[in-house]
Amino acid sequence: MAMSKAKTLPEEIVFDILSLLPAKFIGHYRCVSKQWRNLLSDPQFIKAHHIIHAHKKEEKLIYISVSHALHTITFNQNGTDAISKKLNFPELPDNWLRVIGSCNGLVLVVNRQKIKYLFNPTTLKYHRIPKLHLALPAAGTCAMSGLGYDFATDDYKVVTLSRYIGYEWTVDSTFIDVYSVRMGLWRRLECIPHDHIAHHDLTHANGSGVLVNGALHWMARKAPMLQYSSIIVAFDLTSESFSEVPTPTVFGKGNLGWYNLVALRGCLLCILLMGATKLSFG
Amino acid sequence: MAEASSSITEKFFLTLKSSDGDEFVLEESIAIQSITIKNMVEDGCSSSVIPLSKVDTETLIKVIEYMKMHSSTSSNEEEIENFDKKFVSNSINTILNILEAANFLDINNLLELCAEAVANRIKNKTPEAVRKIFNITSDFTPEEEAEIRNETPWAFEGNLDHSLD
Repeated sequence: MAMSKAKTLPEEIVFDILSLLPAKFIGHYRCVSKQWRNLLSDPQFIKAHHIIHAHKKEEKLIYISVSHALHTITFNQNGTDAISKKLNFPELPDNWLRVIGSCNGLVLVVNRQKIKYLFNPTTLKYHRIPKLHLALPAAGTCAMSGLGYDFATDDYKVVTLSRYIGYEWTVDSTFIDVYSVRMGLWRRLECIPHDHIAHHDLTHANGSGVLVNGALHWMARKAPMLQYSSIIVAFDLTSESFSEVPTPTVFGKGNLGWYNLVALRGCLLCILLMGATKLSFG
Repeated sequence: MAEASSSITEKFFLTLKSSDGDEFVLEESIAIQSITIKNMVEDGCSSSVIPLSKVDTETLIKVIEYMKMHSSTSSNEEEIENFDKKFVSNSINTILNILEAANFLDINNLLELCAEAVANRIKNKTPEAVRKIFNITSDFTPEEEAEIRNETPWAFEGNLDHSLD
């Protein structure tokens, strides 16, 4: 018998109460009883919890300090106070380089050895993304990655675009590789006629794909190269295909390369690096 | 809270009977905030006393107080807010009883209010305190429990609250 007295709460009430608890306490109460452990591990519970707390907008910032350690910042409800916490992975040293992206509370980070890790900042569970066997050599190439979620297969995907840097540019010179976290496999997709790497500076935050509406977005340049016409391309994580996003009409052809892409509450935003001009569009 | 002495149930009044046998007369428009009661009324089962075998008198009084406050057209938002704040300051045991009644009576607002209150109250408690509050005896062996705790060491950082209320 799990219960000491006949009178206990129906499971649906326990479900309601526990789904309101912050994630930290979910882990905390898994050792209360077998019934609670099963309830708290149930995918239906996890989904309900995620929906409730996504709605509550408990937002966290994640950043890498100068000493290459990862920190999260949690804001209180009014945004008047913030708590910073260092993330300590028992088996991983603090040599983080850059946060590539985040999706549904999971974060993709690359360290100074160029190894990518996907982790949950609350549970500190992590998944090391294996090196792509077709990866280009580090010298003379550039690469950009992004993290996204495919609803159709309930899978997280890491998408990497890479190419050689040089003046000679051909249609098939950008490589697209997709890593499925569920399958633990890299796959190379067919090339498409865009130069997907408009920014060469990889230490720049803009090197990551921007996740909006189930697709990763990048600035790209369209062939023929010499015309330098900039476009925004979207990589749909379910169909694994690229499409071109209409660019705001105020942009003349070719000057989009000065802009950064960011996501803001489900909208894609172009921000001019040097000025104050901001423009948003769905 | 007045007990019902009359056996007549008028068209717009209902008699609710607690598990302790106490009867309460309540306006139908107030009582049908409970979907369970509403369904009974619609099915024509409300002409006599409605027995609520799962709700004791103390809890039923609280539930009726809540329904009166939340249906009265004279109470404004601020009044309701203050009432709710005071309402959830009841002991955690009382709130759990109300929660169970709200679940049985199908009063969604009350269910949400109490579930959130309990969640807030148990947030920082030790697993041991939570077991006592919820009347649960651990069915894990000490080894199993230690293993689960090791899986989520991050959950056990900081100061935890041992109190039961």
